[in-house]
Amino acid sequence: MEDKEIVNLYWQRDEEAIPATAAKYGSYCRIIAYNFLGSAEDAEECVNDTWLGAWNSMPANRPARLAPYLAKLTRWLSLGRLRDSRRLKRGGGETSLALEELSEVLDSGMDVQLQIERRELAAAIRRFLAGLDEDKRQVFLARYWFMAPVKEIARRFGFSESKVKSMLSRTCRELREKLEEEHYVERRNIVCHK
Amino acid sequence: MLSEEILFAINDADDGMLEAVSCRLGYRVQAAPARLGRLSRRAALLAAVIAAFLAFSAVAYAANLWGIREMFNNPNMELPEAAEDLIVSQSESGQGAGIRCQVTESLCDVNQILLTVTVSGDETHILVPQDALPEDPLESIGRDGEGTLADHAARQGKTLLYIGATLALPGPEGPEVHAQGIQTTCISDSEMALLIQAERPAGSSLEGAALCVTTLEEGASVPERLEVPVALTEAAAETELIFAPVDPDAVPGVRVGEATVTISPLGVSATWPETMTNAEDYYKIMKIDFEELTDFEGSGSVLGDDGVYHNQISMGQGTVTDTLTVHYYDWDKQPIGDIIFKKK
Repeated sequence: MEDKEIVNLYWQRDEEAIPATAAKYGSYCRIIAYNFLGSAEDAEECVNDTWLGAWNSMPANRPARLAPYLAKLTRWLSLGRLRDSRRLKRGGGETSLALEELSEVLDSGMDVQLQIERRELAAAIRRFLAGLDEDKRQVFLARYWFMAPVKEIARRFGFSESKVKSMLSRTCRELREKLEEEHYVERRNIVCHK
Repeated sequence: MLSEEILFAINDADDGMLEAVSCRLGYRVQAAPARLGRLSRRAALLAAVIAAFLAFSAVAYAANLWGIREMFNNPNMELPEAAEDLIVSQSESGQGAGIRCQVTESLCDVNQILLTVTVSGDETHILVPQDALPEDPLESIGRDGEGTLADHAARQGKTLLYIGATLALPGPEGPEVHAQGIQTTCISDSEMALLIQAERPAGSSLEGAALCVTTLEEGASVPERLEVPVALTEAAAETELIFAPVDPDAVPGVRVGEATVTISPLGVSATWPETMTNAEDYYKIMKIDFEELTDFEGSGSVLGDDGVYHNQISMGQGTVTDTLTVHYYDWDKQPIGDIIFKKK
């Protein structure tokens, strides 16, 4: 079934929208949830929550692209599930590893300005991503948006694992510099692990 | 910590970027048949034909011009000739929600219902499919002209009116709407033809079926509904066969059950249960296809109320013999196993 037809079903409050969505996007959302949560059972529950979220948000939303819309819902719910269960750091799938990688560069000596709206931070990151070359951007998103394991990224992108790690590390440093430039972070001390 | 904040903050990344990455990772779902693309080209052709027709005649279109033969548009298959002979003319009509609608034709078999309806609006509205967006180009609905749908409406001093439709069948607890798709042709600003293609659950009755047309004016938040009872006739005879898997565990991660196969003039439909035996392997399954059947409408695995996944295809075209072979593929489109069914 076409995406637009599925969205129509949501707008018509037709309960068939959910099995139609599950049939087309179940595997896609499950793999995202699984990357975050590391448990098939948790992933399945999260995907079911995704369908509920889709049902509750359409209408009023009418996404032109259903795949990223559902993927964002799944990812958000997976993160929320980890945060609520205080497992974000000790995670869940690839999440704890990814957080360690990010924190090695981003957290050392830095803190988020508490008053910053997450939306502003998101906008700054969007600008940063738009300015990256395509390979670096895709590797960054593959790792930190989709939580794909480094090994998998290397295989899919045709890079060595060390190259992927190096690209990620470099991109994180660039992100840190960008956020510093835009005053989204405050340095607590002068010496940072650069 | 910033790293955690960033994980949340990047959630709203650009859709196009995410789709590009998911494709590269192999996560992207298999694209459905590009029915809309084909529909647009055909719709444009049909719209041009009808425009020429109207230019030479003050008589409005003949309602049955926009019947099943004209509206059926699947990139993978033509409407089977045997099915064309079983099309039934319909005469139901209704008025309300700012529109008039005329049901024109139907074709029902045990698994599918095809229904065409023509919707007419008033002079203050431009009818567009419910899935259209104001920023869509005018040509996206098969109409000639420059600019977007919103531009077109503004030029005419009219308001967009989104049209959708569903077909409900009687169920044990009231009307039920099952999976269905809609193809639309915008004949003119005020006229639209729709083909509804609805799945029909096993054993369901056609008596008490009702068409529900929804309209939503641009800027409004609550759709209006017009219900029209439709007398449907089971026109297509069918044969039901049971096939048993030779090795139910031949594909890693899944155990399959018996397949129920029905054959009608519209094509071959099949459904079989799948029990997940290993989640990691099961989620590697991306798509299936058949050795003996081609060009089916689409397949999918749906989690049933019984907690079991049911794989189903509909309108497959081909000859069913004593064997059905289903190929399973992973996300890289690499084969991961075959299930061979033998007729019982």
